[in-house]
Amino acid sequence: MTETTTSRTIKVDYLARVEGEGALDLRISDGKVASAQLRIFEPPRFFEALLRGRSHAEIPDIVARICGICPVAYQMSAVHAIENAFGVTVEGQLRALRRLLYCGEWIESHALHVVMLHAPDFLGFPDAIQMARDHGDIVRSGLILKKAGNEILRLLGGREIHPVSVKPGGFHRVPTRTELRSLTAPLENARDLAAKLVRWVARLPFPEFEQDYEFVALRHPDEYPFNEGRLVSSRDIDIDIADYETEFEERHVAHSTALHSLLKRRGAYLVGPLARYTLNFDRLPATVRALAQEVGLPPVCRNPFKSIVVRALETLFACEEALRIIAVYEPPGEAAVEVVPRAGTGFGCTEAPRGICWHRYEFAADGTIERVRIVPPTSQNQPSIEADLAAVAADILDQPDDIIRHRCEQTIRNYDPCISCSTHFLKLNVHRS
Amino acid sequence: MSGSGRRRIMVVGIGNPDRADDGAGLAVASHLAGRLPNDVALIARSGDILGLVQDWIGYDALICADAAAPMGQPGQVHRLDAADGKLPPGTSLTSSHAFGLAEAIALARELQLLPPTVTVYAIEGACFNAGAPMTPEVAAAVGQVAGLIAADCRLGAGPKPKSLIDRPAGYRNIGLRGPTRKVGPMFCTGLKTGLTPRLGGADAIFVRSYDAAEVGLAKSALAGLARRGFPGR
Repeated sequence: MTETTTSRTIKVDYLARVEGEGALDLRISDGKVASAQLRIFEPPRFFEALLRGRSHAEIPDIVARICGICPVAYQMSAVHAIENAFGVTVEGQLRALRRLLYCGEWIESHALHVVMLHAPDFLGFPDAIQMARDHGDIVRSGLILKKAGNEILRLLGGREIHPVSVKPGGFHRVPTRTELRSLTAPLENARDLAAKLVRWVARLPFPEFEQDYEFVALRHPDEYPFNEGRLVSSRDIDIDIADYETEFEERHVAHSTALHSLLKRRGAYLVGPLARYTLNFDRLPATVRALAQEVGLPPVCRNPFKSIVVRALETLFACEEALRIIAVYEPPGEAAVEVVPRAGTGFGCTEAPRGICWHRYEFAADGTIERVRIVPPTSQNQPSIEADLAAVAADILDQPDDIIRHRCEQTIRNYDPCISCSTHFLKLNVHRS
Repeated sequence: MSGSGRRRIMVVGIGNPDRADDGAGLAVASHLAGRLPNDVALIARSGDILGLVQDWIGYDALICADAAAPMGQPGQVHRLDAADGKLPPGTSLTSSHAFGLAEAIALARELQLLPPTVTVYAIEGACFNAGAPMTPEVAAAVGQVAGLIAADCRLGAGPKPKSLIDRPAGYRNIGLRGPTRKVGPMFCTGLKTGLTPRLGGADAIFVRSYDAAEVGLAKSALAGLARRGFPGR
């Protein structure tokens, strides 16, 4: 850190408690925030190029490697896109099992972020290990919740990270009823812990801060969205996922190896828990809505710091949804429906824990991949993260650098950014002049 | 302690098999499969390290094998007692995730979920490139660590002794006194007689210390040995 009468620089070499590596440059001029740039400097991994020329059957196992936290999101968006291109529909218990797999990912990802990564920010602890001294019960709950989510992935996916059972048309193997019911008791415990977690996080001290986001999420006629739905926004967007590129575009910016996604007409938008919750509050079970009301979270939430409450509510929802699916499970006759390749283009868009994960694949007649486009949630949220940082910093410019640094890091963690997915994070430089 | 009165030991091999020397811990676990006493739990973890905190609840002793960051001596084996102290930063274990073994152990300690005895075998790596083969020095150390862990399990899996600690077969009681109290849990190989041992350069001192409460005592004894001019091995 350097400071003069006209300028000062705050530098944080790496942001902790995010997935991946990057940095932040905050430039302050004449007492105002001139720019806030989220610099993502992890090298590109070229997954889209890697997939070209390979068989459609290889996609689920390759794209799972994009992320160790949310591999299911990539697998689900991919298999839906493949099936969309080849005219296949997966229904019934196979569809339910896909939702169950997604429940597992939401539970483990949200529990990790809420308890281990995000909560310490609100209580002044540098990390969850220090927080465990004063809040051991909460940290234990987080670990138990995470384990419950992992168990779903292990049972359904074959292993808890980078599952191997997903294939176009369904699964390589489906569980027996007995196997699935072994998850019931741990999930009932997890559901109760999730409800307690919601009440606990709702009492955290939240900064008074709101943004006029344009929320974007999937919306399904009957369900809180995981795998399917139309793409809607809090303003005027209501489109088929195949039309994503008519409303959204990716731009390269010099300070990031991850492309920035923007609304063509309006710029930054927000995906993830706040958007999902606000656009789909009426699709949540009555129990979850009631708990939201009990803890004082309104159906529309524009305070990004309260995303931690929404994640806890979504964890509760995922536990309840998993229990519902397991209770009525009947093993399907076949583990997968037949998938016959044909030339065409397919689209997939599912709700990763951090927001929509959009895929487009172009196939040759034999199912060979010709072109791919993958838009992960964190790259879509980058412009909103930068807008939040500028706004948050503007309110506290008179504060010491350490305060600004901490609040900026907390602001970034509101998004649970998966920088490895988006390509990648955090170093904070504040330049004052 | 399990209901049978025997110590419950868990052995964990940790790593990423697709990143060269990062696979060392997993290779140790593979090496040990079928070679440990039946009541020793052996697991391999290549993903969620944090989940280990739940896995080792109820165990009396935890033995971990993992890769360590390069420090100039590939294949060098560091045996670390992690029950009551942080893992040394100089041997920080590698992990491609935010939570590595050191963090999992520290968290378990805060939550009082850490087994009383925690031993970490950290194998110093040289190459962690995706898809690269394990370096020969690290591959050679895998067998060595597996042998050490197997010995630990054979010695530690027996009934908990009534006295402070019992003497394993083949070892003689050194019978030294520590700075403040009599030291019991010290044995060494290569001794012809007990009570007033003279250690040579080739002698290995074995401190049997499977309870955290005994670690301080053992360290005191080692310090006493050093003061008396015995080889500090």
